[in-house]
Amino acid sequence: MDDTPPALFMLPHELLEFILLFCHPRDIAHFAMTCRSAETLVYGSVDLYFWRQLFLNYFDDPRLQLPHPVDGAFDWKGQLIRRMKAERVVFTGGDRQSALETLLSIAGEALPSSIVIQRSRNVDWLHHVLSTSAVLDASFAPNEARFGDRLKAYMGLSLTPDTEDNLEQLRTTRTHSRCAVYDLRNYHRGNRWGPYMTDGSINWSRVEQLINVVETNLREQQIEHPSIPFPRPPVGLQAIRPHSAPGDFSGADWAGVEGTWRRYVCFMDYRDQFSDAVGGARDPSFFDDIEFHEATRLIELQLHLIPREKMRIKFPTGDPPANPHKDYPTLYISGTSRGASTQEAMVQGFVYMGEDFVPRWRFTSIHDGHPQWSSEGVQIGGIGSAMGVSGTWSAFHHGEGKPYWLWKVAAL
Amino acid sequence: MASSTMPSASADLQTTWAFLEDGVDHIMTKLQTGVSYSKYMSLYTVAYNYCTSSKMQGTSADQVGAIANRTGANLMGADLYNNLIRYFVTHLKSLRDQTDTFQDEALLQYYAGEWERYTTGANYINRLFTYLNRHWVKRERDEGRKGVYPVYTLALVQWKNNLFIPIQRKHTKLASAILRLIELQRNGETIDQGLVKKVVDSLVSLGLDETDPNKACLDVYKEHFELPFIDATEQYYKNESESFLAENSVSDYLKKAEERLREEEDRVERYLNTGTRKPLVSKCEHVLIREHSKLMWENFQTLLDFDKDEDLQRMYALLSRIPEGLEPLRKKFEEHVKQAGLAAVAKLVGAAGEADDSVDPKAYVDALLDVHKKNSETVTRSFRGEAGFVASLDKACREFVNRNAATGTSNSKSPELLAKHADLLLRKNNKMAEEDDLEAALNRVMVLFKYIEDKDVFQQFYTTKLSKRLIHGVSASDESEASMISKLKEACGFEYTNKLQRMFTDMSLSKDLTDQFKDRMAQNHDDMDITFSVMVLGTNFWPLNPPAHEFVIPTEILPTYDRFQKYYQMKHSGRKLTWLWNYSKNELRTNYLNQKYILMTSSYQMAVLLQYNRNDTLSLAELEAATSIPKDLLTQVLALLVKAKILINEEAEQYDLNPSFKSKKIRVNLNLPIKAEVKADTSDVLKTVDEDRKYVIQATIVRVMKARKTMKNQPLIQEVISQISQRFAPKIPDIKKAIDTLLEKEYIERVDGTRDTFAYMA
Amino acid sequence: MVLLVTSDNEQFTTEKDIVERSVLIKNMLEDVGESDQPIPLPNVSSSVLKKVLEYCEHHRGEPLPTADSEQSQDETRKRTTDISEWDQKFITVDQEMLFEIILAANYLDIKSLLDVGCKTVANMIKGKTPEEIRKLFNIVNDFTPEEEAQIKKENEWAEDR
Repeated sequence: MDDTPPALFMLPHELLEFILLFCHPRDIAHFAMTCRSAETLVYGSVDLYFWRQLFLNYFDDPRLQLPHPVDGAFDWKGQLIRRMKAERVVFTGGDRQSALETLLSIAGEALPSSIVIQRSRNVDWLHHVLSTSAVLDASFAPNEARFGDRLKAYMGLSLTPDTEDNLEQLRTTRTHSRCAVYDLRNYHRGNRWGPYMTDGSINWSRVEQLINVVETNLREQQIEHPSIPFPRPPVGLQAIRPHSAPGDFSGADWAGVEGTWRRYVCFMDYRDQFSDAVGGARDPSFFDDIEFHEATRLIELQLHLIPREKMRIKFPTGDPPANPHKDYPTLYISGTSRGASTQEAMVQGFVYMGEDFVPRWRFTSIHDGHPQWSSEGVQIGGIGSAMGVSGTWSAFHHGEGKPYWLWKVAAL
Repeated sequence: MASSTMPSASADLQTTWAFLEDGVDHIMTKLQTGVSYSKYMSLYTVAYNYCTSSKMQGTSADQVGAIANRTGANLMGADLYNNLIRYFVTHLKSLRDQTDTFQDEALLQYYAGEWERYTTGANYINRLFTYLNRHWVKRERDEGRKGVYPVYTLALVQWKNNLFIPIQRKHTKLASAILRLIELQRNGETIDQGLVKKVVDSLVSLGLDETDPNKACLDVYKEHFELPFIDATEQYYKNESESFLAENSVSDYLKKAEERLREEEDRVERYLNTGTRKPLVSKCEHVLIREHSKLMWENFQTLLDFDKDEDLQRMYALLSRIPEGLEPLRKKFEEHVKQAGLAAVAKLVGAAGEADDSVDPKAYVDALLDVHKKNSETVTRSFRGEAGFVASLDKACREFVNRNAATGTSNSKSPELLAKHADLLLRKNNKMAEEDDLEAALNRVMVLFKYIEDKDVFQQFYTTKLSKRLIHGVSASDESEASMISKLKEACGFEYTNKLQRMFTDMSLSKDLTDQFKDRMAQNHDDMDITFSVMVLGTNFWPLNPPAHEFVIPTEILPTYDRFQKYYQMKHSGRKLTWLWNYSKNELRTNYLNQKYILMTSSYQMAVLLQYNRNDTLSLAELEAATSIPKDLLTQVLALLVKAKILINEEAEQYDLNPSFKSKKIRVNLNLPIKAEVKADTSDVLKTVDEDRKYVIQATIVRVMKARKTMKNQPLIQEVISQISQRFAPKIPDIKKAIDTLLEKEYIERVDGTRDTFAYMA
Repeated sequence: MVLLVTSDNEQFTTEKDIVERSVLIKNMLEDVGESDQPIPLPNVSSSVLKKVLEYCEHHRGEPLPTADSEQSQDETRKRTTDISEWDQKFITVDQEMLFEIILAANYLDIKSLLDVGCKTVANMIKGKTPEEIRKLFNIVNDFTPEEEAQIKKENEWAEDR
């Protein structure tokens, strides 16, 4: 090497930055490692401009995310590097818990859907990473499951194409999920007979299992009856974006309650459900029995908001928390529900914002003036996500936990 | 221009800036002398070079320091930017010092001139420092730094802070100068509008939206100009309007106000910002109109009284601009129309004398229509046909059409008069020459009909009169009859005209029946020398009552009677025929006189006269026995015959045929109506109406209760009133009576434990 | 026709619509007006201007990018693979010329040419290790061994997978 300065460095700073912004962060890091000046250019800036531009090349603008947009002092550099690290771990190993946590945050920070904002960079990036790596196939340690299972719930098995062969391959997953979901010991007062931990936080592993059960049931039904179109709830990263469900979220209805919804409920024969209730882990082979039968029913609901005073039901699992979030007050719901072979029933309930900023849904159906079924559920994804709500339902006061999946098909 | 050569790319800030400043100053102050390409490029290049001078590799001390701090391009940009600011500040100071010597229009001239020069120069400079804008300014703004703007915007900000605001601090010199010019213009003098526009536009340009410098912003304009302008306007017009009204009529004031409003709208177009239009016009409307609206309202009556159309139009136009401006006018107008209507009728009644039955229907109708027409035209012409005024007109008409000097306290007099008038129109021998005139007259009837409250009274009278016309064959034309019916149908619906329609049908069917009967008789019996035509009328549709007494059918017509009875029974077995001798008429041929006369008589008269085929003289008792006509009716029938000199009544209760009856005409009409009958008609009609109404009220209550299942007393009454009001205005006592009746008949019941809640009984 | 004079005093004549791809020149002609004066370009040498004019002539008639086109939300991330074949060939020059072209495009405000040049440089950096980058651009490694170890650690996240 000679002593003449590199021709590259004849360019003013802004042009060098401009050039670097065409590169991947990895290449930029390599460039930074070449010499002091390069390192200063990349890492030594007083302002946030360069790393902000770089971040926004690959990811959605967090100043637009919901429910908490960040302000300009966001740590663009740190966050971008964190995401690059997570990507690396996914492919070559390392601190998987952090990686999963980061991936989950990327899913959560995807831009809300709107007419103006069609594509989400977060969704594209994350989808690429998840589908080209096997990170979600691994079995998670308990500290990882919190994040990993939640991500899996969001994916709704969408990474496994809906074919007959794949359904067979999902058998183990399906059985395992059924075991967990239909085990009565998993539902008690402490977790309000819903997909929760005893401290009130969401048990995302359970949510994942609930979704697995419904999804595989639907796949099976579709395969068995190819000519009947079963409406399917949308799944995947695009479907968990905030405001991706139909509706206008600009008014009081922040959760997108008002409109037409569809719901799948699953249940087993009563005797089956209670047969192994006492003692012993549920035997997986039970589900493989040729005699085993699980039903999946489609219900349509029309929901609208009502003032609190018009609520007529008391809820066995309790009222919503006393101090609603100031931007997200508890919404009270009333409506009707109708299945193909059942009469129309009335439903009432509410949705409130949990402390973890995941909306929680609780409602009860009434027939002939008497409460029939009650449901506990959580929003899958961001506020007003297309993927909807999943959770457990049971006969009023009976404390079972059967899976359901509720999603919105039309605005008011 | 200084012939300094371009400093090198590595020159220090001082040298660089000296060069740049020279060029900037030339552009800001002497642009008219032109700029060469060479100069332009030099300036651009020097600025560009300085901005890009911080590179990765550098040998001079401050370059290394720059890299170490990694402020790089940031620092360079800031240097130039801050120097620019300093230049502008200095430059503007000298301008500012100049302005101390100017006032009013001269100030505006100076200001506008310098603004023009300044902004043109700033545009140039903006382009020369384009690189600065594109990189350093943009970056600083992205980082959220306040107070960093693209160079042109910076120039404006400096102008505002260093020239505009300081001038304004001196008793708002600049804005005041503009206001003074506007005041002059309002006083009628010509001013330099272009100048005002230039200055006003500059105020608009000085507004800045921090988040988007390119977006138009009116905050400077509003604060420094619009607000004081509106205040000054308010003051000006307050004074003007008050002093004007002290010396001039309201009529003249209306003109002035109208002119001023137009002038202000124009003013906005010519040199103000369009956003000012709304607050300005609103303020002017307040000061010129609302503040003096009371005066205008008071003046309105005079304008109406004297038909001052132009003034009315103007007053309407002005008062319509303020909310609630028209309401007092509408009320006054309504009262005015009402009084006019009542007066017109009172005049008529006064002229006719005390007898309340002698109001001429046509005169009555014409009087009402005249008032309506005149005021309807006023509404169209002076009030632009505004719905509120139309409503006032309607309200007033409704009042005086139904309750006036001719009607007294009765609600049924007006519909009766209207029906009478319609009847006269539709008779033969009415004075309408052409078909068109008749049609127009019927339309005018409908105009009044709309206002009649007791439409069922009109219906009843009309039905009765129509039946008379049809029976006696005195309709002017079938087309006119049909036309009237269709107008009524359009106004009130099918149900209203159902009966009328049926009456026509019956007439046509009867004609066919008569013809068929004639043919039949011709075939079978040719010994009839009695011409016979019959009208068979459905009992439910015709308001006719059969005679209350027996009637001996004269032998002369008995065979015909029998044959027709048989014929009809054969055709429609099961139907009962009731003969209306009291409406029938006959023609008798006299064979006992030298001249053959044809007497047109009623059936009663015929029955009496035919007795004289066998006797020359008959007593009252004999006649009564022979005809079965009751004594008092018979007496009246005979009186008419005596008056016509057919019979002679020399001895009491003895009537002789007059052998020396003479008449000029061959056909003698003896069939004149009896006064008692006419009076009976009217009271019959009203009785029928009452009966119908009772039924309608009851039916409505039942219908409402069936739908609502339970209802409280008050709401029920309200609902009944609203449902019935189309046909007539029900009285609350009548409704209460009806409720009682229904309670008795157990259609409804009182709900246990309540006094005023009813429930439907299924 | 427009007369351009380079830093090394060479004259170039060209047509207005070709040279107006440079927003600088376009604006100047608008501001100052048209005349016979030659336009001096103190920062551009003749060899570079030749290349620049070649580019402008080839792309003559194409619409100039608008001010907002940088900010579109849905714009796919800065792609470097969309350089046309002709542009590719055009920009295949030695490094010195490459950087001169970039500087000229920056100076003359010819955005599309600037993009082409910068993307090309970006492509040169992509996928290379630090050492490879140094070699390519003649960069001297002036880190001390301790510094180097520190830098390596900080950039661990960028290690190849």
